[in-house]
Amino acid sequence: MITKNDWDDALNAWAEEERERLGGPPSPEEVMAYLDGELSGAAAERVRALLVYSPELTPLLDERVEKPQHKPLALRAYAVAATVVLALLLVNRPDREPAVASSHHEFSPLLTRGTGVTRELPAGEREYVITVVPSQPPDGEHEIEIARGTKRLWSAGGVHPIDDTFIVTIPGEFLDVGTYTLIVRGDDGVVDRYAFRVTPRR
Amino acid sequence: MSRLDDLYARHLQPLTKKLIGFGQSEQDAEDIAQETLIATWKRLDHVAPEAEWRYLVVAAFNLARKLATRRRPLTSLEATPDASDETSSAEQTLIERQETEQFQTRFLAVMRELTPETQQAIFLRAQGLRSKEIASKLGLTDQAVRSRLSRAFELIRARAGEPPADVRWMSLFGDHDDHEK
Repeated sequence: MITKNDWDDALNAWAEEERERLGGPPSPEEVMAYLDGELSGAAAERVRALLVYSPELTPLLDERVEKPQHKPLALRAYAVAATVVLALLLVNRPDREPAVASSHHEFSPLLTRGTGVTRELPAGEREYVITVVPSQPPDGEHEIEIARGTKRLWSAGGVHPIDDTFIVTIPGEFLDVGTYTLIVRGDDGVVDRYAFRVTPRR
Repeated sequence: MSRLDDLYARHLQPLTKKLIGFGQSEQDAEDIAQETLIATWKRLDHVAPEAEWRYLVVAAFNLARKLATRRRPLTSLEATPDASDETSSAEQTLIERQETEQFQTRFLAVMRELTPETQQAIFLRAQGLRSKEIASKLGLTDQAVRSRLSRAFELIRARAGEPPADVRWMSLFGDHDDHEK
């Protein structure tokens, strides 16, 4: 029988494995540099992980000074442009009355357990609200695309997750009966791919 | 007063106390604290006065960990059961040991699938930290920590098995009640 001790031991084995993988305890100089915000990227992540996996040093994490990091100008300009486009879309939207979503679908690999599953959406909805829960917690900016076969129908770049999820609303008239793919891309390429089919109502 | 004396006067006692707080015996704690103070004194020119305490703490715990590794007894899960044991009892022990090893393999495999931040959030949860505290340490939002933990626990349960009820860290609320009061 697997007991609490086995679970605790397994987690401690994990921490020990990580400490070794990360090259043992950080030197005091490395910790000082990390806490003063002088390390970045992989070096900062390594020291942070070692502080996490050394419970006696973990409280030091609260003393870290964040150096302000500015997004590149191009990205900021892109974000501003995206906001303006979104505002224009909202202003010009003919249906400006509030409405309660009539359908909601969750695309999550954890719920469907495995790839190759095609989710079914009934045709004729006024709007489809899809919550995409990626298989890995998303970091940074993403791109979301809806494709039919090899044809890209729509995409949005520079998208940030809200509480680790993406919420996509699709007007009903955008989707004919047929099979589509919703693709989530991160910095390193495709993060998740979900097939869905809009089926005729009976 | 020399700088080393000054260092001793200000830090020997608090450092020893901190080491005792983390399970060192009084004697070991004092030895480690003294050794750390000497090592730090030699590098004092590189340490800003306001960073002295932090520097000492890291150096002391690194030394403590090194000593603990050196002293660790050589035990192995492969050790054969005592010959005097009843055969059935020995077989039972062997089965239990295999079960434990298989569980650990499954657990480590699923942990490796998670992102570094989620792995760290689980470990911090096991240390009894609340979601808000974890969030502040990892630079995430409270909600992001909860959703990562929730997803990770679901995955761990599916792959490694349902934990016993007393494994509190495998719950979203950990050892503390995370609900807003």
